[in-house]
Amino acid sequence: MSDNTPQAYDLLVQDADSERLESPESGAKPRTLKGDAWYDLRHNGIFWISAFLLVFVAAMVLFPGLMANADRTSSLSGGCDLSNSLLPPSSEHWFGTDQLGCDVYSLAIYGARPSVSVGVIAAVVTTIIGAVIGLVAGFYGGAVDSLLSRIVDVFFGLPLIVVGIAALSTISLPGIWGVTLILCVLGWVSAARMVRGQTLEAKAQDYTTAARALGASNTRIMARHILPNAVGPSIVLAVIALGGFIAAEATFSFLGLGIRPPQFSWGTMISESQPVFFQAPWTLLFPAAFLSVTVLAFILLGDAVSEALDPKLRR
Amino acid sequence: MGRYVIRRLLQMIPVFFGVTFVMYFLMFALGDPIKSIGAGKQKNPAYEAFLRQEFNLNDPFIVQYLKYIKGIFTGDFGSTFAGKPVLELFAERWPVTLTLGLTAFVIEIVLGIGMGIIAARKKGGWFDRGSLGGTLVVISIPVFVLGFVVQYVFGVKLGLFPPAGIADGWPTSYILPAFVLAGLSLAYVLRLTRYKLIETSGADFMRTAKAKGLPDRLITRRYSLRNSLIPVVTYLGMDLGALFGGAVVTEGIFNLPGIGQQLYASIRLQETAVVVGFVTIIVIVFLLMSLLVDVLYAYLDPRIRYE
Repeated sequence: MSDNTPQAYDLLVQDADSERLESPESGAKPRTLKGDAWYDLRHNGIFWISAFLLVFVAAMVLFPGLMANADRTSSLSGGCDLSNSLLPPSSEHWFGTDQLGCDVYSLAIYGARPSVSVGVIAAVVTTIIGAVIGLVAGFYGGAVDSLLSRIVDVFFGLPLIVVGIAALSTISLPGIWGVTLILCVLGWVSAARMVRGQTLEAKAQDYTTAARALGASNTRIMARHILPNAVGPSIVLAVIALGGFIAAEATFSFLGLGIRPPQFSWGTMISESQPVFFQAPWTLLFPAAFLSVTVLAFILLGDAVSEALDPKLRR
Repeated sequence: MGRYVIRRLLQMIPVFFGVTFVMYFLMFALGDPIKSIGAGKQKNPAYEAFLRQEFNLNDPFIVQYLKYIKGIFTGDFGSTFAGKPVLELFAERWPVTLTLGLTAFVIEIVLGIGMGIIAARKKGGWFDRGSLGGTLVVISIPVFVLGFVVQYVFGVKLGLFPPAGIADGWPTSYILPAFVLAGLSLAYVLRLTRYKLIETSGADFMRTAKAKGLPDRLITRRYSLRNSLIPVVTYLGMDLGALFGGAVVTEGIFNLPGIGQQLYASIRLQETAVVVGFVTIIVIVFLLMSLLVDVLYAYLDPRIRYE
């Protein structure tokens, strides 16, 4: 995935590796890792495409009222007319209407907030849990590592969909919280594995030994010398996982276990279109397209950031 | 090597207990399964009491769990409430899932690695660009959406394949679901193969091989593939387990009577023995696959040694 590397790397690549070892916040000229990464990103077309898409997604999440009318998403407010059921796209209803006669365009805009919220919350929480567990396991090693690694193995082995179905049948939290909780509980494993690997690598480096020789405490070594190594890969993993979480929410909603009516998300829209898909494909295609483009934007952003942060990938 | 394998097998023991415990607890938390049996029909208190006794439902959670584990170690995986042994049910269902999973796995290996090789040959060419764009699209579309669209286009509109069921047998009935199940992993395998091949192409031994005048075909097979395939094999090994787990959605869409569909139904019916038993078997297969992959490493790359 390093094929669209920017052309401007020649100046930077010679000392990129040595700079990586410095702490990122040393703002000294000429270039820091952050500066490098930003320089790299600015010259990457893929980054701008995904950033533009994500700004648009953010606008839908934060201010859906700017683009659509909430009244047209619910029969309760009288915005849906059953006699308008399953109309094809027209100038009145850009994306057509669903079974209840609600406007698919307005639903798709307002469906962004629950879908994206699940992804963002799950990505942040799983990254934090994963970082803490991976750091502790990698740093202390021995029995602690064995115990934590076995727990990671258990969670890694559990099939997400099956456990999710069972767990979501049990717990009934309102709105997005049930499915968010499940994704947080099951989703931290890959972050933990990655951070553990980074920790093991950094622990063996001379600068860690040097810090220890200078009398730095364990906490300080972890926070200042080891964790910064994992920041870049963690961000990348979190962004890509975010897309996956959004898709997972849709899958659970599709199975009737995620977000439940009257609340809706892209996932529930796709789920409800299932019985009428053959006669009214627009009820499925538009929310599916919104969902896919959002997931795609996060994946592309993850790619671009991973390229920018990893000097070894620059060629 | 022998000691390494034994250590890995020993590590599976806590994972086995962890998985069965978590799954058993989840099913226990669903509440009393007997209440929902035969809802709407005339209740028979004596029969209900018998079932509760038979399935240890009057015991506290931990006792139920231990009795279940004891059963497994004596070869008794329990039965459904209707009295059908879990292993018998599994034997009925797994051929469908196995056929589906293996078909998907073959598609994934042949097309994923094959197209990855073609894409890497001409980096930046039309096939390379096309496959990179195509895989990104596949990665970002949720599996069930892909399933519907494929079912609609190839099954209903074009009528090339049966849209649901397994009446036509293998391969016709399995091709569409297998492609849908394989889609995501196929995309990853393609990208990974391509990326690793391009990375290897800069290595010194590749230049030497070329300088010796070896034909391209031989260089690809003996030198570049062998060095690039290790991460691909890792991915494939982990994925075979994931394929069986992911079959729940695919089997649901295409109405295939496999393990996934049975699992979904059993969770709804709160058939603890079925759910825990099936999941445990899936997880053990998954663990054995990843062990097999690690052993394969040593064959693919003699530099890797296990103590």
